[in-house]
Amino acid sequence: MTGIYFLILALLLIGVFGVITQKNLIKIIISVSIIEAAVNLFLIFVGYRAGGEAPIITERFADTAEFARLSVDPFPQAMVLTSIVISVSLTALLIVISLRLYHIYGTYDINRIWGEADPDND
Amino acid sequence: MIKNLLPLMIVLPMGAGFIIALLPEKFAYWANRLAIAVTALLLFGSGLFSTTGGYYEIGGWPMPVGINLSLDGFNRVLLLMVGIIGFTVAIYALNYMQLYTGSNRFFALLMLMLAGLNGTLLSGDLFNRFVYVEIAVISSYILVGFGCQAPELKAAFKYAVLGTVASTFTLLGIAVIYSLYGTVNIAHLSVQLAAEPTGILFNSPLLFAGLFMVLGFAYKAALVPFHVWQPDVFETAPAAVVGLISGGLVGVVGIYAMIRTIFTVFGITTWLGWMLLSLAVFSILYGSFKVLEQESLRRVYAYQTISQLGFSVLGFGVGSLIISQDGPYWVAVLIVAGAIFHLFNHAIFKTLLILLEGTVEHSEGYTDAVNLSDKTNCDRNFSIASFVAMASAAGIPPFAGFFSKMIILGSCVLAGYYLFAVVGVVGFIVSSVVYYRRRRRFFPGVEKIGGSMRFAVGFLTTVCLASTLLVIPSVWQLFPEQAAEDILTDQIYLEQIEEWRQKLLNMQLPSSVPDNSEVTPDD
Repeated sequence: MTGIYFLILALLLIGVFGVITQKNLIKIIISVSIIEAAVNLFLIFVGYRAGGEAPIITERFADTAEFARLSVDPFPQAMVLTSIVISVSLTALLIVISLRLYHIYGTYDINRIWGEADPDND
Repeated sequence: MIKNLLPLMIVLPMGAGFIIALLPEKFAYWANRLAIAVTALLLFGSGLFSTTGGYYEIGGWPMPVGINLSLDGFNRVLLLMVGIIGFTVAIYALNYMQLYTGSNRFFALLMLMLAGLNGTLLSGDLFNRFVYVEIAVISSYILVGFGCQAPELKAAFKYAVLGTVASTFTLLGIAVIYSLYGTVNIAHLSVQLAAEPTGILFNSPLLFAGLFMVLGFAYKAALVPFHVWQPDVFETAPAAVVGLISGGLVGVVGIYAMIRTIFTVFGITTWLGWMLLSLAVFSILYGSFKVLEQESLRRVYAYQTISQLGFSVLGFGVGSLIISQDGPYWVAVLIVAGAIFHLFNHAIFKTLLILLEGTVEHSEGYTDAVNLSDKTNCDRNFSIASFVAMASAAGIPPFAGFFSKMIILGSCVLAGYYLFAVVGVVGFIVSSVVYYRRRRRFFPGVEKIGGSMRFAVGFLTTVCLASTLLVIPSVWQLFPEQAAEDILTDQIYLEQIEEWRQKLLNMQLPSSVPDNSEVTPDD
């Protein structure tokens, strides 16, 4: 189990490293997505329970305490769903912005986009 | 019950946003009117809520399971602030956004942003607040890049990428807190964290979560060293958007969320107080001195925003130090009330300054110093509005900006934190000097202001003048002081916990239900 947490930490660090070092807009967006994926994975593992049941009350559960002990925690899954929607919309937005920048500058390289004087495009 | 209307503060703008987004371009006239009607309703609603408090359980689900909206002294002041800024910006944009195409899309995003801001203020649940913050912030990313020219897109990309990383770390903090306590309800967390025996500093997962959340919100408040996005955004985005960011977004999504997280969730501790103070001192000094070397007026406003919000955070930081070191309670209340008052004032005068600058840009097409200073045919009303905004921003005595800064600095001295008072005075003097040095640029000549822009500027000038009235003792007790007491004592959250406890006691529960020290959020 702890191995998975190290994997999540590694993903997070890879993402942060990518955002800091990459020079290509698309690669920066990929790195942002990796950070988001790492945090979403962490959220899933917060609710994980080894050998857990689906959190639906059936006759098999004698009382609520038994149910609470056996079932996985559904709340982080609800959170992760929302968080995935947010990440998808953000990724889409970032891609739109970088496409617009590509139409203006003809490149995804941040050194060239931020280094050049603004071209006249009106 | 009036508090049952609370969800409307979020539902109305969000619903209007989706309706406006779906309307085709030829109904733009009606879309704009709808947006203004909704902002007027929000302003009316925030006025209605300005003397009440309470909480609302969404869907009737009781507290730790369901989601709730909470209204206490602190967020009702900021709700009023968002109401005023939203209304002004919507009216202003009616004329101003004619410079751009697709003005009804602007109004759709404006509505979503207001929904996000009101939601951030009202939400009594960490994860829901995160979602509302994201709604507000994503709309602002799009609004910053609204013009689709190269500089705007570059500013929006930088802002969006760094903002996403900051938000994700906030979410990581929330996840860590959830894994430790099994709840994200603010009231429930505040009780559980207060019962933590070791304190936050020596509890490493909690420390980790606290740092991530506070720094994530500090990014959104653009406090030094997380300010890099702000000057670019201010320089390039449309004036209406900059007014909204400077007046609403930075204060609500940044400062309010940070202060609520620190004061209510983590509790007031010395090390979090020092963290706030270090952010504040760097922001005040860096912001004020960086202003001196700026050429563009928008960049001046950006660095001014950093230093003015630094003042507000200084107030909160010193307040939490006084509380955690058992200093005099009334000084803590006074300085936190001053900080809230300054947050409110800053939103009003900075939005007014930015909207005035946008007016010049709209009518003349440039805001450059050389061309403006030799114009002689000045609009008198424009000059009056400029003077009021500038005087309040620079802290000239009868205006509100003077009182809020003086209250913060005076309470620093009263509490014996002379070093912070000195830092504050340096920031105060430097920022006043800026207004003196550039006075010609604050009185530019404008031949004619468009109808709706004239109304918006006039309305905001009136509010800016009227906010001085908040220092009248009885009004002061009702708004800033009540706000400070509520945030320092977590009044509304304690009430929620108490009511929940009563409910649990009355319910005749089976023995298997866990007591409140380890509640699983499962139904």
